[in-house]
Amino acid sequence: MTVTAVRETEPALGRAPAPAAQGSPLTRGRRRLFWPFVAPALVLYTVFYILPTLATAWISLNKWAGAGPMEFAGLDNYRRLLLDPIFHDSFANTLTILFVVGGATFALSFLLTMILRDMAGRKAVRSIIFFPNIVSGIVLSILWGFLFQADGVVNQALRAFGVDDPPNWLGADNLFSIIMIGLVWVQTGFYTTILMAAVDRIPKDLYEVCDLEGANAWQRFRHVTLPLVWDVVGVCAVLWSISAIKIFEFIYAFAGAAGQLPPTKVWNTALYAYAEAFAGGVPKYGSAAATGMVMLALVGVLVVLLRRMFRRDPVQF
Amino acid sequence: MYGSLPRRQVFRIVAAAAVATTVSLGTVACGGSAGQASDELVYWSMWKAGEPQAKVLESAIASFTKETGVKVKVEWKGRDVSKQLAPTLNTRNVPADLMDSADRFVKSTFVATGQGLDLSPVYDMEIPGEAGKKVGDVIDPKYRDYATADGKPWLVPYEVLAEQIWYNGDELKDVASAPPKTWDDFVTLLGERKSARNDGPLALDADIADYSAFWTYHAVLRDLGPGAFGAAAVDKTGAKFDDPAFLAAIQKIEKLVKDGYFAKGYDGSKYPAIQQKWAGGGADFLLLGTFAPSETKPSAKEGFAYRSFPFPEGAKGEQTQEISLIGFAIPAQAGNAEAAKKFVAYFMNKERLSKIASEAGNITPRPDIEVPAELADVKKTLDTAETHPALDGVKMDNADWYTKVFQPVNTELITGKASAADFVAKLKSTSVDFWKLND
Repeated sequence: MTVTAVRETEPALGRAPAPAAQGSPLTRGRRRLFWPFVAPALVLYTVFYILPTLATAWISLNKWAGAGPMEFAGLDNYRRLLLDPIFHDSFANTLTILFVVGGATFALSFLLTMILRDMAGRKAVRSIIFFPNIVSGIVLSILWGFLFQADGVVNQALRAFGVDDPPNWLGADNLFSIIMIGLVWVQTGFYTTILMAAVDRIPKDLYEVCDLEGANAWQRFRHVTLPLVWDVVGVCAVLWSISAIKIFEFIYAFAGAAGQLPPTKVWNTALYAYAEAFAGGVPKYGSAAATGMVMLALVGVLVVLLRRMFRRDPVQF
Repeated sequence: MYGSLPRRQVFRIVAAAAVATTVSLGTVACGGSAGQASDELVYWSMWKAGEPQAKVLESAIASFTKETGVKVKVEWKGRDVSKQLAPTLNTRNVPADLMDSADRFVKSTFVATGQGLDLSPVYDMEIPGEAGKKVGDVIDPKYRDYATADGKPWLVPYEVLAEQIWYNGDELKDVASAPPKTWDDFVTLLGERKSARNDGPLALDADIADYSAFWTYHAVLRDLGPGAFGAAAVDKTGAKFDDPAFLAAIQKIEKLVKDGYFAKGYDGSKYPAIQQKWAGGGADFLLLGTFAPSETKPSAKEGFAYRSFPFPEGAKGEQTQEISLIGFAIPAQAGNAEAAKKFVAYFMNKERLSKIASEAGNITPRPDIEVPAELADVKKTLDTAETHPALDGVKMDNADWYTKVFQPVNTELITGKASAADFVAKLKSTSVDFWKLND
């Protein structure tokens, strides 16, 4: 899988590029060394990524129970996905996670970055908000479940404050919202850390200029911080899109229990694929693989769009 | 590196690599058991090391090796054992010669794909240490019939699970001396208990879709008889849902929900919160499988006496008991099937199998083996009642319909979001759509 993008000329980076003369010994040496350096990685990449992807694509065109004969089905698996209301819900949930959870996560990350920029002890705080990212999602989802259940910590606290009839957090109607809040909580630290690292590289004198000019916090963010971390935000957006579409264990462990799948209402495409293969009946690997291919296509489209959205000449500083 | 790559190019490489990493459905490579001596067998188990059943099997394996010289390489895979074995079944080197699992997993992995061995020869084998007795003689025939497809048995069961309504006999002495037989008796009892405790007497962890389904299914079973639910599930026209008796059965459950007979928090907790609440005395009745006592014992209150009664009778009258089985299966391509058969026959010996009851606290398929005290009520029902597969085998044979069509609507019914009439209408329409798509 390759991502195509139009190349633009980079501004000179203070060093003249090597002349592309055929005969330059440096260029010849580089060209000779190209394959020895690239080949090992390329071989591994082919064996572990490209071939399995092709195998998955092939399986998605078949009806297969994971054992026994494969039966060629053409695009039937894809047709069924298109018509299956449960898949529609799962796909909608995937997009909701992508945009709503993503939006909330990034808004929160920017906010924290702004707050933490000149705070004392920010290194410690940074570690603390990064913590949810280190702990396994399974552990977090279990903890999260205990917080919100009917007699859980949250409701007991609410009752202590005189709320007699606290919301049914884990009821079917609220479950997905709680999952989304949990995901924001898990992800925010990671993106805050990356953004803070980028913000730390911005020269202090630019902010001093802001102070002299009398810029307020928003103007500072809008005209200094954001443009100078723009390419990092782009990378974060790509990383988030990819991980958002793959989110699985948090939902599975949080909403499912005792080896049971979560209710279909909170499935995303990753869970749908899992359920197709392992819901307990005859496994449908073809359908699961087709779901995987749809997810792959979604990632591809998103990455291309994001690359276009975030394309601009990098600022030198 | 000679000079840094332009940032854009780095970005592109990162993006391309990241996209490729999303490919998560890879092919699985497995080590095979090829080239083994025939005095060895590989056994993949659904138990985890240290579980009571694993300990029982382990000691049987040790004595089996000592007596026969056949080495058993056991791997405690856990509940997903069939998922792990499935992709290898049609290869030349199936990594396991013997597997144990719950019936529905064996059926979907082995039977549906034609990759399971016909176990008739095992039923005809003599049991080591019990002269003149064959495996088929000691297992209750109804269990053998249960696990037979097209005349070929696909499972040799060593554990029988059954759903009943559990309660604390120490606290509810009246119930213990005369359990409610009919639905009306049951509802009257619920009413009394509800006013006594000012909370619903029925314990249910509704976040486990199966547990909610047990209620609905049993109501249908008692009013329409065994097989009715299974037939409705595969009815492509949905006409079977129009039966007024079906609606009447669902209305029973609707009433339980409306009248607040389910304990507070049942629809907003995380398993096992409510069954623990029940064991601690916070509710009276729990509809669950025979694993209920062993699962809830750690949180049971002082002096808790596990008693149970079958789901009360409905319009159909006669009492039936639904069951599910756990047992052994052998892959068709197993390299050491003979050794595997030998071990199965060896394990079915009364003395060895009885440890499944005495040490692992479960019911065995041999009627001549004593069951643990807390399962005595279930055993009494099993000895007299007709048995049939749990959920009419729907979860076994039509898991997709059960998961995608039935469960979502059923959860709405049980949590009070849908009336009985809504439930039936919705179940019918989504069923029809489902079968159009999955015919």
